[in-house]
Amino acid sequence: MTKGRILLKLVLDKIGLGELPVGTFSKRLMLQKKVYLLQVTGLELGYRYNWYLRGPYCPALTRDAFTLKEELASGEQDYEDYALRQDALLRLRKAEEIWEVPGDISIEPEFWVELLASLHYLKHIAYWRGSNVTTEAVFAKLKEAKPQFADRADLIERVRRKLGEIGLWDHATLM
Amino acid sequence: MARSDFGTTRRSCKEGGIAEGMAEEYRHKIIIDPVHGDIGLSEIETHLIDSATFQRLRRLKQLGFASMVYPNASYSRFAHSLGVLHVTSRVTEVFRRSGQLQGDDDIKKLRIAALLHDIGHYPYSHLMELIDWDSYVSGYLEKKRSQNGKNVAKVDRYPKHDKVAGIIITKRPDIKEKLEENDIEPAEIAALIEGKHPNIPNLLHQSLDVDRMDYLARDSLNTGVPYGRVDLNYILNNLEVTSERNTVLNAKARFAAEHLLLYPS
Repeated sequence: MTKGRILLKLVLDKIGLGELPVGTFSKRLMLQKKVYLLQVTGLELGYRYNWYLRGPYCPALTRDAFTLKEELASGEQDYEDYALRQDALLRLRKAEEIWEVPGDISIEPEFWVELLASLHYLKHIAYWRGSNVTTEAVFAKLKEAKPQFADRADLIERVRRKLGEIGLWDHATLM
Repeated sequence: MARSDFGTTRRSCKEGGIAEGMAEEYRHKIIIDPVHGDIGLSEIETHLIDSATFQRLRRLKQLGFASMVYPNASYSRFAHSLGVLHVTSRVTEVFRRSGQLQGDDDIKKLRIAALLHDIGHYPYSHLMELIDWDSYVSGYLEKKRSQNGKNVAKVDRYPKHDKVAGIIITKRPDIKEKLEENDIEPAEIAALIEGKHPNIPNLLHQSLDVDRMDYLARDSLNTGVPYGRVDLNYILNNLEVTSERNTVLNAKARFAAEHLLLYPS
């Protein structure tokens, strides 16, 4: 087990994905989007993302998740000799603040993290944007990419506000 | 003159009558080298040199950024690899004459290992080997008290170039298949490069090796500094093989060897 995968395992343990739930699409989506949000809130894990069907996606992360699952199944326990440093734990808490679904919204957690990650990606990472990208342009792009949310302007605005509260609307990362 | 598929200019032995004394097998092609003179090649060595995998070495500088200080120190690992093959051929000839190396097959394998010894080098050569693959990781991890006192996690460094050479030789079709066509087991060549062959003397992976014998002379010629100008002929003529298959030097040549070994690698 490499140090990179030991770190991934310890991080996933902390966010409730330590069993590597990669058996279904929605679980893989949750893993991808949560790790993406972890990275932009300051816990750099080295994964780089491109846009796929449901938002930012990293093939290397998928590979590592499957490899890690196999390593755990074969009895490897190297990760038990390590712990996350305090600094890493603080950054984790920052990410947890963002992906908890607000009480006044009725939405599946899977869709919430998908929208958070997607809106952030379109605002800060995607190549389509110009230097003076407007909020309206980002929203329009999101609705184009995700037509199922086209009539949920209120929800999209709520997601934007959540990103803004934590500083991720004005800044690409919190590092 | 003959030109190979990849543009290496070589003399055909039939044209110039050069490289006298060289075994016929190693007169298939001749490459002229500024350090050693004529370097004779067998047919399979020529094919290996013409492979895309080997030609990549033309674009790797042996001395990295040293050419920023010594303007002419920009020779390639391609040229150095040919030089190491030549030094190996001279060492094996010494050992063959003294009866310490008998099989022609062993000589053939040692020459090919010498030719391919740097084929696993990364861009920027040794520099890449120093980079931690997951440099950001250690900042987030701390080790719990170890129960067995061992560092259980692997250090995620890029593998050393000789390990990569083994992978290339046993996996890349343009090298692997050419060796197998000539009844040479690629894993044997990889073992020779790592100095781990069980039967054939280790010439490539020790303090006093053919790699160093070439690059000292080549560095000196290309940088203009006198360090490394060793009496190569004297050293070669005093080499011996121990019962553990290590290459050693007769005591009377120790001063020449000290000069060789004190030069930084």
